[in-house]
Amino acid sequence: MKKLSAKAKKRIMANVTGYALILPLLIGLLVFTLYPLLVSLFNSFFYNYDGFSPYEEFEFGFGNYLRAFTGYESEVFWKSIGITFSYAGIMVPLGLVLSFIVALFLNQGLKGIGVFRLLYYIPCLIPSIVQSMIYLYIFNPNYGVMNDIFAGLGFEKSQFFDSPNYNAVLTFMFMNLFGVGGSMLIWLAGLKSVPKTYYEAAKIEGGGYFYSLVRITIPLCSPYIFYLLITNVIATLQICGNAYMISSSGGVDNNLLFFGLYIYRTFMNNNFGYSSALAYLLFIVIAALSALLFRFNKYVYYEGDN
Amino acid sequence: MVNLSSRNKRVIKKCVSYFFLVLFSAFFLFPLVVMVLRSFFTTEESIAIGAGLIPDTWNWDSYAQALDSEFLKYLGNTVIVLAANIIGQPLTAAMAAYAFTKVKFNGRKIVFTAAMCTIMLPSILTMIPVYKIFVDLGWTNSLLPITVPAFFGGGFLNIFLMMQFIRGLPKEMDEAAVIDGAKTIHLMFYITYPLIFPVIALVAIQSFFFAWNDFMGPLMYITDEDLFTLPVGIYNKFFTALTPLESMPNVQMATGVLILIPPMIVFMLFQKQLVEGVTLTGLKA
Repeated sequence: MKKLSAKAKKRIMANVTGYALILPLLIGLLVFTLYPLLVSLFNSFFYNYDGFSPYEEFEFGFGNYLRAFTGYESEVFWKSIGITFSYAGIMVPLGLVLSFIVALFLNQGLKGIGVFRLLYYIPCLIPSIVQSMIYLYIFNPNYGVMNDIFAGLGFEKSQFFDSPNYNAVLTFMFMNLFGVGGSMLIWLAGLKSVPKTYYEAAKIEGGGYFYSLVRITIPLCSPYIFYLLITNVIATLQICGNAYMISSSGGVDNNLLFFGLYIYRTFMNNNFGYSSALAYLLFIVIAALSALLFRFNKYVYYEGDN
Repeated sequence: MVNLSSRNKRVIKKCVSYFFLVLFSAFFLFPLVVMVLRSFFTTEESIAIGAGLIPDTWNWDSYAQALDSEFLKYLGNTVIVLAANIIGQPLTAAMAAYAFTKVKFNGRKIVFTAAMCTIMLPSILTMIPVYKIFVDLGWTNSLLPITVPAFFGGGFLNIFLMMQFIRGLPKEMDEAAVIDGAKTIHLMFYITYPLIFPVIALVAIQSFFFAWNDFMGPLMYITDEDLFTLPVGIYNKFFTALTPLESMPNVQMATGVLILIPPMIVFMLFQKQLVEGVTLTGLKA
């Protein structure tokens, strides 16, 4: 009897301590995540809800969701979707491949390699507001350095971010290539994790550089590929702040209206209902894509699994 | 003879590698070089076509103009936000990480999974109602919306990173301390936290970078110019200029150099931990 009560006491103590320690996290989850999620969902069903007037003044139903797919707003919606997904579809693979190539060059054990690693990472250290200042200046259509370089190379002047076509997104893409240093660091860790003996074995068997790359390096780095893929896809689809700093309105003809910025712009116009619906649509897409990507997890080689 | 040719081959290979490494450097350093060099231009030069990169005369005026009273005001606000984040994030993360790994309380799996799911949520989805919460609390136009949340959450990836390290600690020390009559709080502060201090420091450094860069938070909640943090203040100061002459690219670049200095120093000091930390986050499942 006494033994049992001691055990029960221990249980209670563990619960008290545990909840005391996670209390801040729990409050944060409830107040800043769960409650907002529910409110957002609720708001998304009130057509053009403005955030502050009583709910009775707004029509209840799927109006906000339908609004995205029908009527005059759907044009902007699809354009924004097109920009965001074509950008992600090109930039995520391109960024992964380029950062991988750079990491391969850095992984050769040459002298002074630490300095190069640092240099390549510098653009990632620049705060995004400063990055925007630099890139808006470099790509300024009138007095930017890039047009000077273009003139030197004999190319036509470009409007860059102000272009009336896809050149605006291409400029945004080019700008973000300066930031592949972040993925590069993760690749480097992946490359370092491959045991050297594997390469030696491949060499003895007569396999060349590309044989080792395809048969050893890439499969053994698959957890890193997977991690980079998931995080980059999620981050790219949510682009908002960086696009806002380049053009808060979404560019000429909405050419830089990334989906995150579209949501934010709608919210700034006090349309809480429609922006909540858009945010939920984005969430569904991200969750679906993540679930899809996680299905590939079984092809990922984790050390110690075998 | 064979030996020599293979040596030659190696030298050539090395040269090619260095050639590409330097080429990449030129690319990655381009934005920084433009910023630094053009910060020494005069405003007229900085909006001239084909002005080149090297200034005719090294003009320091842009730095004097960049470092005005507004900049210092914004810097002061940023420091407050930084302090809250550097203390709040590691503290809440370390508490939660300890609870999840060492304390067997009921429902810990549910809370953990819920926290894990938050990384998939687009931040904009929760931002809108959170904005309303702060409006209702009367917290907009104060630094509270960008300081208080730092004490409630800690960030799932931070918690996860700390958990990985706590799991790796030997259990014997805890057991010995318990026999000596130590309470949980003693175990936490005298055994676990000192042992995972490098990770706590890493989270603090990452919180520094986050708070120093954060733009959307302050943009959303703060409209009073006196409360702007550096990113929003700078945005307001330069990005709304109407004419090229007003936008003063040279002063912008000088401001950029000034804002870049603190993160550069922090990175140089903690390079090793940061590079290792980046690679550990989320990869040791």
